[in-house]
Amino acid sequence: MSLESGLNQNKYLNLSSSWRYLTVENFDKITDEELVKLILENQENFLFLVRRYEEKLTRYIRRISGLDKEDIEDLLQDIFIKVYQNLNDFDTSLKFSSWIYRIAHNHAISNFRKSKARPVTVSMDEETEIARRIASGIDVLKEVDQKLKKKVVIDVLKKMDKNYKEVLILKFLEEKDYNEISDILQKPVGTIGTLINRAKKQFKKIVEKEKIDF
Amino acid sequence: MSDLSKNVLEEIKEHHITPKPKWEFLVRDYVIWAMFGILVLIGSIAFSALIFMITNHDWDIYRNLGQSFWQFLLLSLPYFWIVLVIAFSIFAWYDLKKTRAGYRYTFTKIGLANIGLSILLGTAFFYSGIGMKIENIFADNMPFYRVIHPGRGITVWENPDKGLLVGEVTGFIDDEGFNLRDLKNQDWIVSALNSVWPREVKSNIGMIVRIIGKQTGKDTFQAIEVRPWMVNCDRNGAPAVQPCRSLDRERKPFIPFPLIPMPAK
Repeated sequence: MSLESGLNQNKYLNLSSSWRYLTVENFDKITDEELVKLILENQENFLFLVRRYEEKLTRYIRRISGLDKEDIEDLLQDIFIKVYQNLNDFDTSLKFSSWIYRIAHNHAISNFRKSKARPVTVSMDEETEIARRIASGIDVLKEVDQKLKKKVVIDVLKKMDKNYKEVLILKFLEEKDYNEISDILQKPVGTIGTLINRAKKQFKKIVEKEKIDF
Repeated sequence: MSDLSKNVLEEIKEHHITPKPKWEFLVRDYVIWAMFGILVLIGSIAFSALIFMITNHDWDIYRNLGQSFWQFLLLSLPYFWIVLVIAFSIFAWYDLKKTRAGYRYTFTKIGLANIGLSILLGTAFFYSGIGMKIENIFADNMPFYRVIHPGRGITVWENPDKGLLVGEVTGFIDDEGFNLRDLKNQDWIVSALNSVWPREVKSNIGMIVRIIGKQTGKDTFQAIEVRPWMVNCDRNGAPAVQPCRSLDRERKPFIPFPLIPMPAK
């Protein structure tokens, strides 16, 4: 039996809490927390979770690692299996997305350490987007032309400390709020605020030191 | 269906991977909290011993010893217990950070909560006499402890020429004084007229006392202040919160290296 046919067989899954039905077509309407309950009842439902987060986590891993597509896919496979194994550890006081991002982040960092490979900065596709969003979050840069040069931005991010780079990616690219970043990186909210401010300052300092003309 | 979702599900099925049971995570959480409890408990006991050492120290005799207050303070601080309290506070802080929501709190918040708990429990332990018991156990059984804290400085009080005397009350001379036998079994006549002389000392033969005053003769001493050896020490029904420590225990010779035989006197 193929997975697709398996899915079709499971298309009418009873959601005990709300008496709604999970189908291939409408699974987007149920919350992550409800989906977790359904996965614990039937492992086939894990497919929906993978689908929901595959793209988001692929982007996030690429942003923090700069790995190529194949490596990211290998990493993601491990991450999703880890998520599945630890579903019962999901802390309902958190957003599910924060929990899954945390696992992805920790696994990616641990993978870098094991391979002794230094995470590189964002991929070329993302440069402009990062630069635009970071620039709009930094007052001093608001005053200059925000048409940023791709090469310049990637150079600046390469020179930034890992901790600062991470918070900038989560804040300006993943568009997470302070509480979510706190839950993902497992640091107090106040520390996240400080890190973001320092990251902005470091970004500005590098720009000024290198006399980068935006 | 994407390759990734297909691969993930195939991997799960092929290797019969299942979610870890909830109890495993609960056990992990309970172990972390139990560890925190144990670490705070040990820290609190150390803190109670620290209070005991501080409250039973004579902080005002530095002049008799010809030292400045700060010099005396540096020489008298109970470093062993201070280090223990700090070490266990750090261990407990680290453990608390490992709890589910531990990362949400700053170093200061967790540190203050942890220290506050240790102070609260430690004070309760001190008043229940645990501080003294623990200090005694270490003093009696741990040679290294006596290297760091050689008694409560009883030898300091064996300085009648500097106005410091310690010994056991052997009898009373009306309301004017008492007889005392010091650590070297020398008998003294102590005049305590116009001195600070606590009521519990006045009625307790056998009580160990320390005296601040002045040597007036070969075996006579003028007291300015008479203090029981142990603060709040329970003897003969005197108001107390902790049992007395015998002079024998204080007399116990300190042998820093027990394996090396002491030279015969």
